[in-house]
Amino acid sequence: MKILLSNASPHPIYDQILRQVRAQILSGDLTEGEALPSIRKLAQTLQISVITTKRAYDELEREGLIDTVGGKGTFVASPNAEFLREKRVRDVEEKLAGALDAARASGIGTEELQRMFTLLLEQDHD
Amino acid sequence: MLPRLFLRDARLHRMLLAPSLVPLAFLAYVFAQAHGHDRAVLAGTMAFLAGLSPLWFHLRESSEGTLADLAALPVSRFAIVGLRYLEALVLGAAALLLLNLAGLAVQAALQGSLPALDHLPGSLGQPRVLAWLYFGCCAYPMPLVLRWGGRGLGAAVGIPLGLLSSLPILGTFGRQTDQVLRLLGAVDAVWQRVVARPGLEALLLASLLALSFLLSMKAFAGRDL
Amino acid sequence: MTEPLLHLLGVSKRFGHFALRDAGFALPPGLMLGLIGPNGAGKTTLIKAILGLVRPDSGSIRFQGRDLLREGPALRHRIAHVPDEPRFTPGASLRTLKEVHATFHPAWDEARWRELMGEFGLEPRMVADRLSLGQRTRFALTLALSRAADLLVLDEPTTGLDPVFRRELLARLADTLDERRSILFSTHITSDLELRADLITLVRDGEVVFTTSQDDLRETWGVVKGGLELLEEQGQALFQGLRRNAHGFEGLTRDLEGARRRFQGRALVERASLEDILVLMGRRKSDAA
Repeated sequence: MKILLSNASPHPIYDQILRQVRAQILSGDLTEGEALPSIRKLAQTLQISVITTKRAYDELEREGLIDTVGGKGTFVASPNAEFLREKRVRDVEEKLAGALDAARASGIGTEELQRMFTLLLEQDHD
Repeated sequence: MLPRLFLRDARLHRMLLAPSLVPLAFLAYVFAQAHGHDRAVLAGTMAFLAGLSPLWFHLRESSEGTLADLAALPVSRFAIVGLRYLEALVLGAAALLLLNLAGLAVQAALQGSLPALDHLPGSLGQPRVLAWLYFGCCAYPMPLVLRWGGRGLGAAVGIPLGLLSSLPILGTFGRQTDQVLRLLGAVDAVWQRVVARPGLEALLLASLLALSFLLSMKAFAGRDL
Repeated sequence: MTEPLLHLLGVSKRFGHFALRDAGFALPPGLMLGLIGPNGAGKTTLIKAILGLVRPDSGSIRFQGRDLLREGPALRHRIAHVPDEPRFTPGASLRTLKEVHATFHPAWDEARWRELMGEFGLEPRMVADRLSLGQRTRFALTLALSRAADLLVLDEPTTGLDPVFRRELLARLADTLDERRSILFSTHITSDLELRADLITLVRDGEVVFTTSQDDLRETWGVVKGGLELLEEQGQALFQGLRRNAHGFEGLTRDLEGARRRFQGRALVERASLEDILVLMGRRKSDAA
């Protein structure tokens, strides 16, 4: 696992770790089942706070990219592409449901909402 | 806990222990023999010096900035304060013992025979004198030294001296003299009564020692390091 | 949430001209907390209160859930301390000092002590009071690190040490941390703590200004640099700390994102380093703005 941190980057440190590890897992540089350093070991090597590394790992775990086995350590999760896609789909579903709730709470009707979404899609195409 | 603390002082302040006791004891005895001085006074002085040792250790640590180390140790306040009182007793006894041994040695060397036991300089035969000496040199200044360090010692010595030396001055103010003399007379009268009954004297001394210990505990707690 | 290893609440102490007012912070197990602040702010007083060298006028200090003010001596063997400018009894050798120290701490690791002495370039026969400040600090470190203490308290430990050693020391200290152990590190040399410390507590003029994680600090605190006219226009109230000179101003803000939006293109907005925070917050509240 290779992590290079930049102090000048606009991204927070935990985010830099997150992006780099994620990229390495998705590209295959980090293979399924490969052991990752513990949050403390990583913090030590990178000379940063353990709270930061924990945050990055927690996020990676939430995304299904890594698994923490109690007592054994942290490993790269199986690149179950389908599982990941399902997860992403679920994320989008949740966000849409959230938008729907917000719309209802503000008294925005179904037709208006559909119009808003169509407009967004059109803009996105541009 | 106490043995470890004692050992600590012995190690850290060893410069003071050995040299101060042995040659002093020896020289003192020789001096006494040569000038026929009262041996009791001599022994008293020895005990006095030894009794001051814990005060000295404490002041030394205070000035060297190592008191914080002592206070930060995982030992109770009771142990630290108790250590000081115990040191005075132990060192005082050691001083008297050494004085006696020195006396024996000199006597044996000069006369080729050992002196009778009651001629030993350390045998004061008056434990009450030693007890009051212990109070005066150790228990009385201790709370002051623990609380205020060197200034405390100065106050302990200075205040009684100041009071004593102020008496003649008061004498020049006519009326005040009578009042002061009457006060002193009353104090003396009480003292005579106490001294007449050994039980009472012992009780007074014990209470003063206890009071001193309690004040010392409080002083050490109240001191900021 | 596990109970903090060390928890100070409402600690106050008055000493003549200086007063520590209502100070408090919580240090969870397994983390390093950096106590930063200008000289004389009260960092050492806080540390002395934790070690029982100073008795607070009010407040509570809990260690592993127990009242440290009341149960001090019983708990102190779990706390190791490296004082500011360590002093030792004159004439005592390092070996003697070690022996004295070891007798009071049953969890003494002699092998580790020898190892550390070697690594720090010290020999047992050296006499403590004849060593330089750096050597004395290193010796104090060997004593503190050769015990299995749950809390390591360091008061300005890097003052006498060179930058290379400081880096190594920080790495070594971070190494000792585990789920049970924490470190409290007070310093005015902020670069030592930058990034490594998990939590930062800023002490100024006898008060604890804040305690946050390094992450939070880096994401929310910023420095705005711009011309004086901009300051006039926007006002000072925005800033936690301010410095002016002939060319412009430097303002410390607690809302980095907001500042980025507000000063878009009109001023330079950067993430604040610990040093920026320390310098711009100043010695007293009045210095800050």
